Amino acid sequence: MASLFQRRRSKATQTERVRERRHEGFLRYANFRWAKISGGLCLLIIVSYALIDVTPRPSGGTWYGYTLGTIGALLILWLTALGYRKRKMTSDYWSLKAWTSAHVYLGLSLIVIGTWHTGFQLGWNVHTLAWVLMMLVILSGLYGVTVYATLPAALSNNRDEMTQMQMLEAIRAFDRQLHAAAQPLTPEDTAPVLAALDEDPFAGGIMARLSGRYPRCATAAALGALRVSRSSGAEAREKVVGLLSQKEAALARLRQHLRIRALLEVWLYVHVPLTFALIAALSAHIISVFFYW
Amino acid sequence: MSDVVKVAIIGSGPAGLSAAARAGQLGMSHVLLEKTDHLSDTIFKYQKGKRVLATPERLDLRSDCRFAEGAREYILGNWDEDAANNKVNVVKHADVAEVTGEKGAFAIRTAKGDIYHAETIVLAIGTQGNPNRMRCGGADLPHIIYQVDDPEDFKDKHITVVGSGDAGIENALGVAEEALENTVTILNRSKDFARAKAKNVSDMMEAGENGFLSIRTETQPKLVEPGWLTLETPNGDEKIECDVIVARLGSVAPRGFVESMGIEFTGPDREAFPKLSPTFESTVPGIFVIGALAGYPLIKHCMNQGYDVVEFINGNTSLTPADEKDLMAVFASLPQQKSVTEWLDYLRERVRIFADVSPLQMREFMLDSKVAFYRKGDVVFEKGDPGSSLFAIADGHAEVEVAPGVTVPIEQGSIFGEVGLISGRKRGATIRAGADSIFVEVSRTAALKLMGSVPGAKRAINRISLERQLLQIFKGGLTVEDLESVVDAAEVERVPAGKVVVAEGEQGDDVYVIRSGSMVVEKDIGGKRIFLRYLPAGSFFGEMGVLSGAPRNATVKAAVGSEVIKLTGESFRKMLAARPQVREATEAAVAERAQMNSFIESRKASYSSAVDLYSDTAGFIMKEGLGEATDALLIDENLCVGCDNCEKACADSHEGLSRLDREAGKTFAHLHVPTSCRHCEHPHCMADCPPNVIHRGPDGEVFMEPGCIGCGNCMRNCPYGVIRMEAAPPEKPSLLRWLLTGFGPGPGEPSPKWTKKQLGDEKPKKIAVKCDMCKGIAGGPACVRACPTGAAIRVSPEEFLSIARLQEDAG
Amino acid sequence: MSFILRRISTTKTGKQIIRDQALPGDTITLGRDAGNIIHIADLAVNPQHAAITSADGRHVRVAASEGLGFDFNGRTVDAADIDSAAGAELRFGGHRLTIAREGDDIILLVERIDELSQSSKDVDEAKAFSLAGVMPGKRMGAWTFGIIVLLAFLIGPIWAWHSFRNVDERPQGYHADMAWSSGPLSSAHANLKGDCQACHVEPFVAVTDKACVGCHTGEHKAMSMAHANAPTAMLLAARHPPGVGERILAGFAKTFNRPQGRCVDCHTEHEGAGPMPATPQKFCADCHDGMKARLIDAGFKPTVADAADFGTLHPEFRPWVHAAPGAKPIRALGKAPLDYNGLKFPHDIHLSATGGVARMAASFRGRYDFGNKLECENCHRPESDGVRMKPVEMERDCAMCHSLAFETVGGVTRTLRHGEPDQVVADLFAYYRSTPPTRPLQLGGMERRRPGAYAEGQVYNIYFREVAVRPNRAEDAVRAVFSKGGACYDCHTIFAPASGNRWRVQKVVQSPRFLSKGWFDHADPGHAKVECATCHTEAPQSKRSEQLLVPGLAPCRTCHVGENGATIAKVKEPTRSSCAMCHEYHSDGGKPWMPERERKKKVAMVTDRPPREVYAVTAITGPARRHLYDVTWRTPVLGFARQGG
Repeated sequence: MASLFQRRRSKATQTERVRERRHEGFLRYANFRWAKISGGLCLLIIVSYALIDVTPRPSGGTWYGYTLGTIGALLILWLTALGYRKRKMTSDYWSLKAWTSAHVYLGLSLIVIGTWHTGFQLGWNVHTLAWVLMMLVILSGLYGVTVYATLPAALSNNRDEMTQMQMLEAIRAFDRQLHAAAQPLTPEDTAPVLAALDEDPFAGGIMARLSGRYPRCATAAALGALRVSRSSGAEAREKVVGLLSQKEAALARLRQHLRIRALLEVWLYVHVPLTFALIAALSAHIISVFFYW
Repeated sequence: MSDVVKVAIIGSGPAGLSAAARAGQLGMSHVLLEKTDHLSDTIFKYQKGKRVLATPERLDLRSDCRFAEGAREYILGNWDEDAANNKVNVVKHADVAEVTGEKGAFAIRTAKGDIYHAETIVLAIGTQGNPNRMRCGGADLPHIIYQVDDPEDFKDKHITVVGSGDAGIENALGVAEEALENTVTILNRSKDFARAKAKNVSDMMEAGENGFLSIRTETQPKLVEPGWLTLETPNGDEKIECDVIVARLGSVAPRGFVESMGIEFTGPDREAFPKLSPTFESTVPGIFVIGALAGYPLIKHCMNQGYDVVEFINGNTSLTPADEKDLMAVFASLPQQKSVTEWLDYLRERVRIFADVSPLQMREFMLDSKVAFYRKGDVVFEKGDPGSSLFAIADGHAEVEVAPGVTVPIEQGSIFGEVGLISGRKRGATIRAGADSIFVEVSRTAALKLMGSVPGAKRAINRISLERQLLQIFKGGLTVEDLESVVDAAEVERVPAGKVVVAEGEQGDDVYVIRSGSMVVEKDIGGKRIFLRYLPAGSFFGEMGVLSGAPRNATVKAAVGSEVIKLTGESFRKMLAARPQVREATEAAVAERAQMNSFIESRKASYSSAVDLYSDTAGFIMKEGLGEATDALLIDENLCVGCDNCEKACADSHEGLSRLDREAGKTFAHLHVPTSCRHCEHPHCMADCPPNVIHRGPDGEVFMEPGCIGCGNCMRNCPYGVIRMEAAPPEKPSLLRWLLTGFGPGPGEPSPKWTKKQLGDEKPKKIAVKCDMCKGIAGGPACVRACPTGAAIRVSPEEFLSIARLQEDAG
Repeated sequence: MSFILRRISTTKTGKQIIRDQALPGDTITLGRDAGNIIHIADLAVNPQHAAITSADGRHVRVAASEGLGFDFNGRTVDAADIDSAAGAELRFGGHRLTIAREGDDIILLVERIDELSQSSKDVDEAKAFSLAGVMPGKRMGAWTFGIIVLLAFLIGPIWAWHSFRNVDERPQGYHADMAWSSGPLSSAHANLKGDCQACHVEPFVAVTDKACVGCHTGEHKAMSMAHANAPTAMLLAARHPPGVGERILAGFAKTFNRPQGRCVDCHTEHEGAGPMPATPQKFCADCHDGMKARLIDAGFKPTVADAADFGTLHPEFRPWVHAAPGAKPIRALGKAPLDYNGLKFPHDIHLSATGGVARMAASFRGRYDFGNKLECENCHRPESDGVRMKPVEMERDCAMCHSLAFETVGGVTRTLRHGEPDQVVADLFAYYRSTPPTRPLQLGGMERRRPGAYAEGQVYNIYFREVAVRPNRAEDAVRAVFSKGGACYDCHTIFAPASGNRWRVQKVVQSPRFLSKGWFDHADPGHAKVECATCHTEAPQSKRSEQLLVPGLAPCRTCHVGENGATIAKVKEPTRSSCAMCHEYHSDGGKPWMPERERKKKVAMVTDRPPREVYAVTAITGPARRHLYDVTWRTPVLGFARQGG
């Protein structure tokens, strides 16, 4: 384990301090330092649990239980602190990547710490609630790790050097051109175009965001309608159809972008609230133990 | 009018006005000639409400006109009053066309044809120069304008913009705004808009597609008539409606005009200034040059000089310049007690590069230089320290540590530190004081100015630097004498980015040393150009040819605009013959490189994909201009989840403004180069900073010290668009408060809406903000620290393209 | 009059540009089509949308042509009459037509008021592109969940506790603090599951013994005398040095005010439904393992040997015995202890399958439940609960053979009084006085005597005595009865009359319970199914009744092993036996624990409520400062302990 913590060069100028010549993801940070640490921790717990026989039977109330419980509770608080750490730009040296790495692996080790703390006594009570919440938080976290590991490339491919605002701007440009180009159209042809113009690119609920499917997409509808329509001048209509299909493409890119971002974010909407539910349950759990001592 | 005035002042800018005001105060007969219908045109043309700063603070104002930081209108207003109060005799619409005669009897003819007679002339015309006029029938009609102050002054007009530079396009877009309902046409003589920024061109094209303006290429005006304009198009002439013509055809620098009076300049290149005496007198007796034209861009300087020059003309010789006390401060730390003038002479006679510097320039240089006394053995700077200043030895001597234990003395009168100055690289060797010595440290800008304005100095510096560079490359065992022949035969070549210096397979035995910029070495393997190596400034290439006589085995081309020193083969060979150990050293280097090439070739056979990727990545990085970067932010989009924590961190560790735009920028194979400062070797932003507040810091970072006047030059000069003109947003509520209540904008740069709400109607001054690599923050660059997934790193290209990388990839 | 079209457009910088333009004619057409006088480039407007006319140059009529109407005062209409002086606002698609009057001109002001398209509306990038737009915020969620959980599982329970502070018995049904239960209660306490305060009286005060003894009154002691009377210092010294674990636990206990030595230390609750689990052997072994040495080191005098595990380390039994005739009972020391109970009883003769005794037993078959020979149970009868044996009774267990009859009068047999020597003497004298010493008639009878006829329990003894002693004198008869060969002498130790007093018989003492510390249940099915001899191995060979036949450790260990199966010798079908199986900590005479498999499933519930005072005490004095093994003690009824054996 000694090799896990070799100190940084003491007199390193700030730029050298954070110099890395290569990109190294948070999962493989420092050659899986935290994976090793938490893995070791879990192993230690499992083995010692098997070896030590506590009276009257394994549970949170034995000295072993107390120890695991204390470790677990402190760990949970520390893990929660990541949310603060990543937003607090203090000037001293720290690397959020290291924090994330530790967060992920120590968080996973909580599965063992927490579960073994219960001594596998689960029931319908606040204590088990805390455990369940903890597991849920960890599961959502697992999802997060997975998408963080798999989706970014897709995000990058999809946006293809375009910024978000550029994507939106593209759509706006097409709208302006549509509006101009659609002037000569007959009312029955303008109606779908209007609908397309009135379509909010950000519309659609969470499901639409996650699935990326927009069945009632006005632009697509307008495209369909104008393709078949014969009412207004062919040449003008062609132009509009062309613009519509361009806008549809632009929309598709934007929506795909939104989708991937949603997939990357959605878990936080479970992870964070449940974390605080967990902390509440945890405090209830601890207080209850001492209240009815 | 025929009566002769004592002094005619041409140009009513800060300098001219101040001079005239002084003359007025002294009751001198004078005339102030202004070509426009208002005073101080340059500042007049600032956009409305623009804040004008009064820097440098340390310099105190000596003038009869008031000047303090304030809005454009406020300052102009003050000056109009002052002009009146000081009974300044202004003549407007007096565009000087020609000056004849000599001291005591000058004749000044204006464009309108009036003649003014003056004993002396004070030239304060600044550097803005005059716009190029249209050259076609009716070119002098009044509806031809040469600038657009406020596009919204024009509505429902037919406007034709002539000229396809950025200025023209920006004006055209301005007046073409939908609401103004102008009919705008922009003319371009050639097919494409090569001279304009891509952004501007694309904006214009879009506007064209949307029918807000019509773009006519290969078209130029032929005849201008009121309301109408005849165009010369590829398919015959064409007459279009035209109420206003905006002509943006660039401008002629005033230099030609100045030289036409017989005033000599210090050198041919564009940094050169007129040769001046301590009293601002040019080489033509009786003509004095002050202000920006004399090389003093700051308003305060100009106004002080205006005052001074008139005092001089008035025969006041005892007047000491306003910067006297600052110079005293510069010399204060020295053991000997001398007056400022004595010191200046002392330096000028003892230091070679100062030899033919005018006392006036000397003052200027010393203002942004340091003079320090070093005891024997004191370290001046260490090897590897960043720094771009130039040192001159006024007394004693310095010792260079070329190799551990091996020191080479540098004699008094010579200079050192020039490598840093020229290549922008870190210091190549440790320098100690060989005896109790006095060294002058000239800041980079001052040094460049010196080289620009004093050809002698330039030559000296170049030669020395070349010698030194060679000495450094072939460590030890060489003396200046050995290099004599080599250096004499050497010539400096400018190489534009992408130009091939040495082509694979061709014969040749010249050896090149990269003076500035950087090169990439490529080799054609299996019909594909494979990137072999990145050569930063200070390294050399082509030596294989000399040693083996074989044809070039790789292609070397410039990654960025660079300067190489070409050493002829046989002179080099002679030197090697004379110095076997140098030959060995060189051969060792050659062997090492050859071995690496063969490694890559072998890999290419087995792991071609890895090598290709490496090579393509390298190509991409060079294309993105990272060749001149010393430290760039690179994002691996396989890891980046788009949380923008880097931007937030940047904003939060500075004054609430992010210096990087993660999303913007090019991407290749998921390697993303965001819009953020690369801390170039030769920062373009430094090139033209009136208050000279952009510097290279101890960690090699290019940063801005307080005192920016918000002129925006750096922003315009930066080819990577990483400098913003922004005002710092107000204080945000504490983070905890936001976390708990969600009140306020939260981490990162607050949204403009919020800022607006906080500020109400006060408009703080926008100044330039750029990445300072988190200078002075112990933790180091915030963007990297704050990346949760490790997607962001800061590297220099040579680190990033290290062969180690390929070895890892290709196994 | 004329119509003037006014257009106001706003530049990016917010500057407004106003354009007036006189319109020809007095019928103004309005629409998207370029042919209209007022041309509105708005897709929401029809090519020919409406016509504006004015008859008198003041009142304006706006009439929509076919299709879409326009909005006027918020309603969609097809036509509207407007007094231009009053002015009006009409809405066509995304544009607003304002009608006003200046001088005698009618001003028609047309402005776009809607964004050209939805996407053109400016967005807050951070919000729009993230999920923040479509999901309830994280912060909100965090607060809500957190508060809900706190309310339901912290405030609620505390409130429940508070609201029942001074209530004797909670109503049945759900109480918030039930969510705090760390596990189901044992079946004995099952009915308390809704009533946490029954035990957890004071907040942040660990459950006290008061809570237990409130219900567990009667014989239940908080602690055995041995421990209760022992000085605390000694008890402390007895404890084995704590390991890491204990130290941690002790740390917690100390920090969070959790005294030790309370009932609940051993009788752990919330361990799951079903009967309370047996107190594990560790609780005893913690002290008793190697205690002797520790006590000696600590300068105390150990009274008990070390015991760690029945299978491996347990001292030999020390039954109560009378070391000498008539001596006080003491705990036997060493092997084969003697117990002088005052009787002469050779077990070997009585249990042997041959010889007179067996024959006689056989002769009584049918009249008594004898077999071919005597069995243990013929004389040793179990107590009603079957746990121990009743004392042997002369009349019930011996008299059928050892008859005391001496004459028959008209078919009624007269017997000597057992247990009353003086009566015996008196009866005999009376007998001799009343009748002359004539030969009893039946002795002269001619009929043949069948074996076993003696056993008729009739005159047998006396007859021979008469024959033996001549001349017939009462003293002789009395002496004969009490002397060797006499009826009493056979079984009892006789003291001949010395100066002043008469014949006396040694008092007989039978111990009801030899092993007072341990508990042995003869009725236990496990024990019942084996022969007496399997444990009481000595019995068939025992010649003297002084020999104590209570078995030692060895026979037990043929089945019983340590709590976790530790043994010295191999045992087939072992019974894991914790201390609690035989030893009964509170020594209140109750039954100790039984092995799991034999425990009766139906266990009586404690249903009576703890008396109020139990709480009242602490309610008044507040939580008592407690010391190690500081307990509530009520004097025990230890019959055997006092009268011994």
